[in-house]
Amino acid sequence: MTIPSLARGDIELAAEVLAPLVRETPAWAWRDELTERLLAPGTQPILKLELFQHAGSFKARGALNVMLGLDESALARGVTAVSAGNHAIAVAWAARTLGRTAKVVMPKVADPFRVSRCSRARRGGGPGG
Amino acid sequence: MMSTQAFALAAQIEREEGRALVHPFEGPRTALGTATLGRELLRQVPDLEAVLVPVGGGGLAAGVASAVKLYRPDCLVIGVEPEANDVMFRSLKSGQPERVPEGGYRTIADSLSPPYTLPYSLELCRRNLDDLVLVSDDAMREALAVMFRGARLAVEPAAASAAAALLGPLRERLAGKKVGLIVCGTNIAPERYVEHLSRGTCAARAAAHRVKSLLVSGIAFTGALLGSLSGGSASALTMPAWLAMGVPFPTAVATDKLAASLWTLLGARNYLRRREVDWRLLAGMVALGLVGAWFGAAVTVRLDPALLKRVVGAAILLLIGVMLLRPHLGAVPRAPRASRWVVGAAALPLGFYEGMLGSGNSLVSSLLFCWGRGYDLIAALGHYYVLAFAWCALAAASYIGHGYYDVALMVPATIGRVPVGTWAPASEVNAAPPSCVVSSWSWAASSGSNCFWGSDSNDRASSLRGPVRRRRPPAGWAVPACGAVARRLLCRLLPNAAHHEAEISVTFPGVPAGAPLEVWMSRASPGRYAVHEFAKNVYNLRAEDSRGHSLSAVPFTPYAWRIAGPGGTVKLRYTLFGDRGDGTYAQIDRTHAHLNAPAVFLWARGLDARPVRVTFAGLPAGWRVATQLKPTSDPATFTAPNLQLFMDSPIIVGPIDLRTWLVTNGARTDTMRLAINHQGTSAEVDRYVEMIKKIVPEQAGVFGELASYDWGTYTFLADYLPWASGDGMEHRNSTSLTSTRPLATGLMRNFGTVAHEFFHSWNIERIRPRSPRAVRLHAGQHVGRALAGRGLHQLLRGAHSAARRASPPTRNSRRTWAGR
Repeated sequence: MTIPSLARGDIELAAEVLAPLVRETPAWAWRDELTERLLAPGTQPILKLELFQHAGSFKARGALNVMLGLDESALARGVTAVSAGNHAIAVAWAARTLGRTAKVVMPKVADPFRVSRCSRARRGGGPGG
Repeated sequence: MMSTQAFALAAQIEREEGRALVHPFEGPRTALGTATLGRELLRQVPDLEAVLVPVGGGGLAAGVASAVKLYRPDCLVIGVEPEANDVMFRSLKSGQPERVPEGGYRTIADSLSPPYTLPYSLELCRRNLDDLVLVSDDAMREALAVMFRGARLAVEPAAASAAAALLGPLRERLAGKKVGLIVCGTNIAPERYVEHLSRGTCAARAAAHRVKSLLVSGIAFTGALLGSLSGGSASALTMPAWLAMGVPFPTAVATDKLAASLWTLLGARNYLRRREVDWRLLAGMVALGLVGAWFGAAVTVRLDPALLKRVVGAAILLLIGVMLLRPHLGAVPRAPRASRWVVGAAALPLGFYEGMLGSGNSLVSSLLFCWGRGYDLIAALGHYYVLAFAWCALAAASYIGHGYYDVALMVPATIGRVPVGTWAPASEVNAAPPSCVVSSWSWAASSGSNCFWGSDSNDRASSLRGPVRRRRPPAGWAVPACGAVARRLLCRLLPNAAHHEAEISVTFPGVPAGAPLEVWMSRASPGRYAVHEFAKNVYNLRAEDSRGHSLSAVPFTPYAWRIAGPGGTVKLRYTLFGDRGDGTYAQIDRTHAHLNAPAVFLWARGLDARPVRVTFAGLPAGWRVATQLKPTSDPATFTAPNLQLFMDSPIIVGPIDLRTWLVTNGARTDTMRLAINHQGTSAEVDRYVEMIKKIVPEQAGVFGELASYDWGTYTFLADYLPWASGDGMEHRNSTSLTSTRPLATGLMRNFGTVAHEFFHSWNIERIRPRSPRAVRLHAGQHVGRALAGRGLHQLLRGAHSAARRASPPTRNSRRTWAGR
């Protein structure tokens, strides 16, 4: 089975669908004394600050896009995910945003901060997961 | 971090509850989601030349790379993966999904740590990533710290990976490019973040000073040497070198202009001392050439660097060609062939070229002067140096004004040229036959310049400090001496313990008015017979009065300061660096502090008789302080009746394991204590205490009784940590014991030091030659005392014989004796 590449039209469509739900994160030209000293001269780093995305990482985009692709009945049954952190937080956030439930599996060694963010996303609204 | 069991559990939930599994990275819809991120970035910054994207399972990279290659196929997309989990790297190499061995890989970038790769993401990565680089955990920590310090962003390690790649493996490859870095997330516990940050900060500081100074100086030196010997130009070597190092073209020219202006200034000075120049000619040429140089610099700043590099290449090749031909001009003065006006008019193009590049200008100008005005070669070069100084200085200023400068490059490049001149006597200029004149002039040009740049621009403390330079006295400014006042001392060990710094404040109340207060760092330490300049580790010294107004603190020797002020209360604050845990110096880190008082505390001259009070502030839970100083009701505060006893009192701080036992000392009962920072077990300490308990009565037997300890207490202060330094130092009521060996494996050798040092509680501490009792803190130890002390030292054999007597003779029985 050959794997098709992503099509421009599909990306445009996804961007359109996600636009009202995710944040457009800033792209920021990073220049300071430290970068000038440490980077090769003339290099212009641009930071795409996706850390400001909902749920604190880029995972919100993928998780939301997957859930928006589920049909209504599947969505009503809720979703599950396995992740050490960012993905779990993003799925919990996306479920809440869509008014659905999520049950996520996190390993015991996961960063406790992330576990607490997950449960906060759950409590923040929508039916519990 | 994620285990396959976790995936299995999710699959079970999916099966039993009918919940749809949202995969963390695999699948077209996930990739489309992340592709919107790539699209968004390109819309925000359309002229990106490269994008660095963190890679874990590859979901982010698959989407971002696909989008970038769709919208901007010419933009590079490079994946960045943690070295400690390179599963995508291996997958791309093998062409099929790979797994991480169960429990196998751990990286601090837990977001980039999938248990395996999967076909869809792998295939998109394979098609769309131009390259994949690996970064270490340390590099991510460092980048994380750089992002915090530079951009004030608190990100998780995974999100720092792209920056780590740009600071590390991709630094040269992406030099001068506009590079997008995906800063992918910030979900991390604050404590974990702080841990990474503090470890990263150390590394980042070191990196900030990974200055190529030595290399740059070397290149400049070699360039100057070859240029002088060949009669050509130093920049024929240095320009290509700077460009190869990734320096932008205008900055490279600016560097050479600055160095050349110094060089030519020295040359001109030497020439003008002996011979005249034609000022009428030069005045016009300088002015005309300045205009040219201004335009030359302006052109270089604006022209396409690629084109300029070709011009430089051609110019340098031409120059080498001319040098090989070695034109013999200007052997003797001749009649002028052209008027001043004609020759002077050439200043415009010469100045222009000097400002633009200037490589080979000395040769061209010399030819012009020799041919047109009939000068001999020395005169021609003398005239050229006057011109070139003015032109180069203006060109350098112009580049710097445009923002093209790099201090880390310019300073060593300028300095690097100097030593060439210091070898060649200026008299050679006159003696040399004309055919060698070009080279001897270059020698002469820089002779006499060696006194210009004597200071060490990169001493150890500044390299530790990192880019945020703190005020620090030059090396050698800080050691101490004699007699002091310390009345109240406050020692904060922790705020910057990771960098081996302690913040210390000293309050001297009731300072007599009239003369300035002299404060000193010691140069001697009790029991050490060498001069130690402890002031070298003191910096950031500030003084203030009781109302917080700052007072001037002027160093009048390398190790003492005069504090101006009207008397009353004087408060000093300073930072102490210490990373040597032994009997002489100090070590401060996150695990403990080992402080030898003279290496740590300032004192004031004339106030030695006053009592001293010291408090250790802000100690974490579980830490305590052990010392021979007199305890108070506050466990972190201690006192000493005077400076001498205070300085004789080493201090250890940390999660100390403390053991106490009583010994009968004549009619008295004394307390013996072992305070130890170590990594071993409590049982090991118990066994060690049993051994020490046996040595104490043995040594009492040698002298007939135990010494009389102040406050009835004797303390063994031990730091047995791998990062300490092995040593032992006796004091009046305690001994400082440091070793890198743990008790588990170094029991007997550590114990030998205990026996030796404890023996000193009589010998040296109480039985001593008739030299002054007081340690001359400001001036090193009394030599007579030192020599006699050495003789007495022989008695220490007694200590070892005591150890032998305390232990049975055979190896096996010694084990039994040691409790093993």
